[in-house]
Amino acid sequence: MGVTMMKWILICSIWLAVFVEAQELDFSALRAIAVQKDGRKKPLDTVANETAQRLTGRRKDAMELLLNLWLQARDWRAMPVVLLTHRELKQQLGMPVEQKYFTHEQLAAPALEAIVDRASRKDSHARNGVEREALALAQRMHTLAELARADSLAIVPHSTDGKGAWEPIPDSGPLKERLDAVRAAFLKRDSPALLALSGELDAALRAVSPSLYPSRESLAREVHYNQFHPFRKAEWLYVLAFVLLLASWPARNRAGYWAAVALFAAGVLLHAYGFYLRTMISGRPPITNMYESVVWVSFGAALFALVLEMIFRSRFCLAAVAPIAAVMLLLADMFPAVLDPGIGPLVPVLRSNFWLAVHVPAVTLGYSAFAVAMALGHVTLAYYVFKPAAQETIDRLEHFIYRAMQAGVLLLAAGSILGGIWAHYAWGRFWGWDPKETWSLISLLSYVIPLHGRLIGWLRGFGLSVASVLCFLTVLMAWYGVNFILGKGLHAYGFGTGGTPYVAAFVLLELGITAVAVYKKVKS
Amino acid sequence: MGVLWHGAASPVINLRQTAKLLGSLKLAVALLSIVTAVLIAATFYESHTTTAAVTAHVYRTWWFNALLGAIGVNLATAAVLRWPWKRHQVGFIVTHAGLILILGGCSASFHFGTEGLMGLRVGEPPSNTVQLEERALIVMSPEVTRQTLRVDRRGNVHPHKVSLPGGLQLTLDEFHANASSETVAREGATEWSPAVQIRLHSTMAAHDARQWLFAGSRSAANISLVVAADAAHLSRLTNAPPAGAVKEVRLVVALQDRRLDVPMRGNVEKDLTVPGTDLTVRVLNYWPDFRMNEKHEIVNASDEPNNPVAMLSLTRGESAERWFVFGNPQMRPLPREQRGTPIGAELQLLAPVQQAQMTLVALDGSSGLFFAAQNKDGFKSGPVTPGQTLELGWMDARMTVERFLTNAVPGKEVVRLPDGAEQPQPALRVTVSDGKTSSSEWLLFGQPVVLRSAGKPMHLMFGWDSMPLPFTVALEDFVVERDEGNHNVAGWMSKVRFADAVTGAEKRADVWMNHPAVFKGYKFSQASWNPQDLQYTVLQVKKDPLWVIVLTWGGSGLTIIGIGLMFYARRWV
Repeated sequence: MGVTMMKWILICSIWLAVFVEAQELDFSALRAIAVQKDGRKKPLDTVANETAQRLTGRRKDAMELLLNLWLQARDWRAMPVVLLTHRELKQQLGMPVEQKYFTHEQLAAPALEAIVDRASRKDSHARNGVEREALALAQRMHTLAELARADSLAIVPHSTDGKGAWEPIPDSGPLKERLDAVRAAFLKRDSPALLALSGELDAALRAVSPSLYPSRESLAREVHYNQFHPFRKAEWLYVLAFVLLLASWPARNRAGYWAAVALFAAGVLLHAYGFYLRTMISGRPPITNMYESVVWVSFGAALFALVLEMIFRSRFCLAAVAPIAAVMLLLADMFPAVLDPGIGPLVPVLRSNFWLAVHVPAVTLGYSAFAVAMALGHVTLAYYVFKPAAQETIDRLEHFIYRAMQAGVLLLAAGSILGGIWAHYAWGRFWGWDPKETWSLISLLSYVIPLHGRLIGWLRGFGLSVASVLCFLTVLMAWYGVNFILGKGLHAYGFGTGGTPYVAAFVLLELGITAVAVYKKVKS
Repeated sequence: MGVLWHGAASPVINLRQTAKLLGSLKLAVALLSIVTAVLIAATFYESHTTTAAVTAHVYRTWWFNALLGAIGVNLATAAVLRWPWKRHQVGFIVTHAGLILILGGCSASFHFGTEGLMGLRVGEPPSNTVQLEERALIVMSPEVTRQTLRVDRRGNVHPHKVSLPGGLQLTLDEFHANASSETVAREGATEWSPAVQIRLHSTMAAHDARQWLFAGSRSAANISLVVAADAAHLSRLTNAPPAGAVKEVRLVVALQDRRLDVPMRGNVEKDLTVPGTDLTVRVLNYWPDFRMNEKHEIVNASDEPNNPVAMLSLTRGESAERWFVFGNPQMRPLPREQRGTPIGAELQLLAPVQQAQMTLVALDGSSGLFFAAQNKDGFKSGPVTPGQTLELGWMDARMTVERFLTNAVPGKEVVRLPDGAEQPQPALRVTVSDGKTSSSEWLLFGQPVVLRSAGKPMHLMFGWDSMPLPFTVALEDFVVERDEGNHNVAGWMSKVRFADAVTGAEKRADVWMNHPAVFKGYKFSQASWNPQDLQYTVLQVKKDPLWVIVLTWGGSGLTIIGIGLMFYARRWV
């Protein structure tokens, strides 16, 4: 009896402890404190999110984590926050395979050091999966140790120079006292005091250099962008619109249709709003890296689908594109290691706003149009396989594909040619057979060839549908492959690694779908 | 078959048929498919080799350009054949015209444009010399002659023969696209002139190479050959050096004539005073074996004083400074922070000799060879004969003396390296003849060579061709902009001044990435800069004839408008 009682008390106290720990503190004043990090000034909230993302692979409880480290509220070596999912590496390190988060103490062992040492002596492409993961893990541990220092965050503004280096809070003085007060409130988990004291700290920091401190408005905007997740909301709206559209399809329900269109349009608006926020935060045009290009192509595809839908009212355009737009947003959200959502300072070669504002959006909108054609192509091929008798529907779908391809050809040609004119002006040559240029030409040609073939009669509706799916693979190569697979050329600022197995799987899937459709068509 | 037969019977129909084929959609689809396949292969080839290789083997070949030319012909014929044009064909005609103009403009830019590079340094006088991207053979004496060269795909040089003033003939015999020169010695001098061939081998460093040493030369591994003038000199060189060098790392701080000289050991994080002054020195941090790891973090590799570095703080009255000082005598102290008036102290970190040295000594006029080795194991010396192997004192490195020549003549041997390197160094072999005698020499790109012809020296260089501009350019300043709060480079900018001495026209301009400056039709773009030398910049100079620019830009506009018309304005035109 006594033992059971004791057990209950123990369980209850653990629950209580968990509850107290989990009680939400009001970080709103702290979030908007400016930090100078990685070449720009950003709110503490962004630093927290980036840190949490880097360490734990997600953004949950980011402020808690950052404050625990920065204010040294807990022993950072004993915090189970370092993400490690690679099974083989866990086995080699002798760690429990089912565990996902580890402490620095657990990981800082000779076994990891030996692997890291071996890996760092190899060329980057000669490393195996375990070694790459070990290096990433070491980087995470390094980030953790770096942040767990009192001087890790530069939050005291430079007094005179707008581009000067900011300082951490000094070891003594009024700023230190204010920070200590914030720390005490955080440790006591006193939410009202934390809010009030961090407000005071913010005011004191702002008073150091009022004219150079970022405006409250801009900091609040970035915090809002972090908290609001416009792209994730757009993604959900596309999914909802898709579901509603399918549900209302059999009965040809008008109200359902218009509700779906409204949801989809709201998604497009949120999508645009997200780009507006990013542009305002970074102060530059919206597409400068792979992450932004994926989100942008998704946006363009959704926009084109909406326009086509408004012209033709066929349901097909929305139904085909909504899942693709949502999947692209999902990918952008799911793989931050490959598609980095961080807003960093621009690399020198891109520091020309005209170039960025015209050439890149045009090319990527071309990709969007081709994505729409590809989505419609899937639906058409599905009709050929499952409902080859519905010739009228197939004809309509093929007309949409043709329209989408036209828009893509115009945009990609215009974007590439504008890039050429810009290169002629800036680099002294119109065309230099740079791999990115060459592949944009290849994908353009791969669409131009079937469009011409159609004029001779070598290709009809079915051929166009197959082309819309297959030619998108060249777009994928121009977009992803040049930067991630070829890795050569002048457009080097967009290079990266990762995601190759997923892309390969997608390519195989597309080839498979086409093969099945062609087989069916030939047989009939 | 029937068509061909008819064509043969009637030349007019034949022409018509041929044109129809040339301008046919079928040919267009076929050509575009071939080009697409070639381009796909080319990009993968580039990814596995180099940009230089794919340029040489695909993009600049006759067949590839012929393919592009065929597309041009197809485009043009297709447009012409549809004459008289109908209203609905406007989009098609405009697009095809635009594409032809772009193709023409690009190839014209390639053939008619002037393109070169200009290196400028802050503070140097204005320059008007543009280095062209073409090779030339420059003969500097007896009279400056410049001959622009062209090398064809088989490696033949055009022109093959060049006549020089004074009845001399230059023959350009052989060209290597990528070569390197090795210095070799041959017996044959009339006077005593020593040369030693050594073989340096280390299993741990995966190194095994032969090389010739001449008097006064030093190899990468600190191996040198010196000449002893007489027996006394020889004994000085082969005896242990006087114990003057420091045995442990010492810090020396001098202010005017006052001097602090203390061992590093035991003085880290202590306040030291330069005697007789109010200058306080504190060693904030000390790394006996300073290294940077791949994350650019400072680490201490060992406790051996292999590369000692210290961080010092100096305070004197209101002034405070922080410095990095280095045991490596080639590195000057580096300021980290300076407040108040500069203190002006002289800082030195004296370190014991760590680098192993191997000196071979040849006694003047004799065939005697000796060695003197100074390394971590101490000092060793003695006579050495060919075939003998000596320890070098680092890792498992050993040196074998292979040959010793007393009357050596240095010569060059040019070896051919595989093609496709990113930065190949070409070489050209030339023969000078005056009708009776002739002599040959390899010229490595960019390296001047003296050739003797009929007893007279003749300076030759195989290098970039250059061209004077009708005005001068000077670099007034070079600005490197960095990201706020860190040292990542955010951008760089050359502030230049153009001046035309004839018209007196002057213009100041800023040139940076994607932002060229234009003066008198010449365009100056930021090409490169040197992070180690922030006073220097390289600008790309380009001049396209105006009609080329009109062709390309006009063609671009027409193409975009044409596609738009074709797809979206059929109803209206």
